[in-house]
Amino acid sequence: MSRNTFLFIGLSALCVALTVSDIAFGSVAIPLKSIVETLLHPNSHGLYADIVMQFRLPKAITAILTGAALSVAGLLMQTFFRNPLAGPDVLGVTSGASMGVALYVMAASWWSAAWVESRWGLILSAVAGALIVLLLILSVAARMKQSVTLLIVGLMFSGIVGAVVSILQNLSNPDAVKLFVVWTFGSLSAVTWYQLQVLVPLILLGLLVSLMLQKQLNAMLLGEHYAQGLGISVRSTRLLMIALTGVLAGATTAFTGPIAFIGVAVPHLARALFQTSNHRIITAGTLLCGVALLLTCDIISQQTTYPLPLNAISALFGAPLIIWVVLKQRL
Amino acid sequence: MAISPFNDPSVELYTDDLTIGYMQRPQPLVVQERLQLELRKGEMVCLIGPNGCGKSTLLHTLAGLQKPLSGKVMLHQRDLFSYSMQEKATLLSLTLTDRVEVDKMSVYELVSMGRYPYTNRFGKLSSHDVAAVENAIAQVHLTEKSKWSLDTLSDGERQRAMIAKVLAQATPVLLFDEPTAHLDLTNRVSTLLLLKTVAKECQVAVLLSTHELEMAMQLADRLWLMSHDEIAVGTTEELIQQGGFQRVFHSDLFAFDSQTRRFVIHKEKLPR
Repeated sequence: MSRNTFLFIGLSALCVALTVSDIAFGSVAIPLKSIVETLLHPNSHGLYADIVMQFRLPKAITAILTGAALSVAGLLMQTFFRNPLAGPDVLGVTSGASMGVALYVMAASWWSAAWVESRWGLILSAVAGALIVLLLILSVAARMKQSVTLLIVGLMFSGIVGAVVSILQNLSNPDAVKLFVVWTFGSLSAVTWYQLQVLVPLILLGLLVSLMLQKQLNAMLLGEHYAQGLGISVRSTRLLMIALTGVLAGATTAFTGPIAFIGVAVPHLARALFQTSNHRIITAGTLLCGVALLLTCDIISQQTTYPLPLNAISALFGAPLIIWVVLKQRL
Repeated sequence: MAISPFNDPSVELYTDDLTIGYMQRPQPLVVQERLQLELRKGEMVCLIGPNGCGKSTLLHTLAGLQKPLSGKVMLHQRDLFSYSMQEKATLLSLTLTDRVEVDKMSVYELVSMGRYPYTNRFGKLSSHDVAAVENAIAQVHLTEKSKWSLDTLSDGERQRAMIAKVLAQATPVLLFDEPTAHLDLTNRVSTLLLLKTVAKECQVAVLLSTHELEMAMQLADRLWLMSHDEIAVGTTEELIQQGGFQRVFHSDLFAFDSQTRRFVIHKEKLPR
């Protein structure tokens, strides 16, 4: 058995174990037997069954989707810019989502705070914000010659959005500001079964297309001219990569709030583990590592009686991971 | 009927009244005009000329990376721009000066990308593709290092790996932009000899730009001597007789000695 096959089997097993742990451990510990029983009879009722079905299971599924989506989006952007510092937020899609949420939460506070309560309002405004930035970025990308132009434009978008959000915060009432700040902490627990019906197909589709793109992505690693020389249509590949990143990062951010560092850190972790940049292996590897890392972060964040902000935990883990990988590779 | 590029089967690529340059406002920037050039199978052509005369522009135009201002590039008797990306990738390849910076990619992985124009969506290699990749790696003498990561190779080996990639691509026309840049003397000579061998043994057309004038004079089957306003084509002997080198590389610092085929620095210019 080759090293990679071994790693894939090991990582998959780890992901399964972490999923079970994510359901089992929390403010209330649930015995393994009850988890298995609940999963076998999803319509049964009882304290444990209710916690698992109403709370822990949808959260675990959200963690799996978010971990996979953000990591693969990060990999796509690192390949796109051929830059190890790129992540799913460089295009400004995440900032776009924040601006949508900020506008929704805080502008609404001027007339009524009552209808802000509905979670769909948050989600739709985040989707709208992400989509607007994505369309702007795509229209720039269709015209530009160099990838780095897009990096600058994305950064500028983030700057504008940051400014708008500050102004809104300044003008809004404290309750609305708190609501927005809580959203920026990132949370997996607010996603319901109903919302998962939207999120699951969207993310699965995005991941599937990313896995199919391995040949184009490998060619892009060599640079635009070489990719073109190998018969790859650079323009359409680029637009597809941007759209995929938008869908993967935009959809997860809309439902869970921004989650930092996973997207930048995980591709490095995967490359260090699998010792290759070949997308034939690394896309799937990144996906599995992302799932494992976000599940771990979620398990840690729910150990205290009052759950810690996921965004803080992911950064607390993600940043040292990048430092470790970078030092190990370059020294 | 007289033999012309239009019906000569040994001509792989030719240009017809080609004007190269850049579309700019208010008026286009013309780099070279009315070029009639041809590349034949089995021949290595060296493109030489001073910096800024348009060598890279010409190579990019011949490879279809940029559009000509006017005229045509004909590849296998068809306009270059009438080919699909994939068709073109089976007929013509260009290796550029820019260094490929990829972490953790093995020589084998790089060379197998040369088979992309022939493989399915997932880049799955058939036994024929595998043979082509292994052959290409053997041709550039990297078989022992085929599992090595590119970032552990020397500049010379890296250049050979890039050459192996286009050999695996098996195109009848191979273009190289300064394949000898950044290399030491031994690697410069061996790279040029390798390309000459490839042209002869694989019966392909090789065009490369280089600043290694004296080596190009010894090795090229034909030279494209590019000045700022024209391209003179001929063998080394023909160009020496026409005084081409003296004219294009004109300087008050050195002179071309047609007897020894060397450029000699004027004694009085040496500091005392």
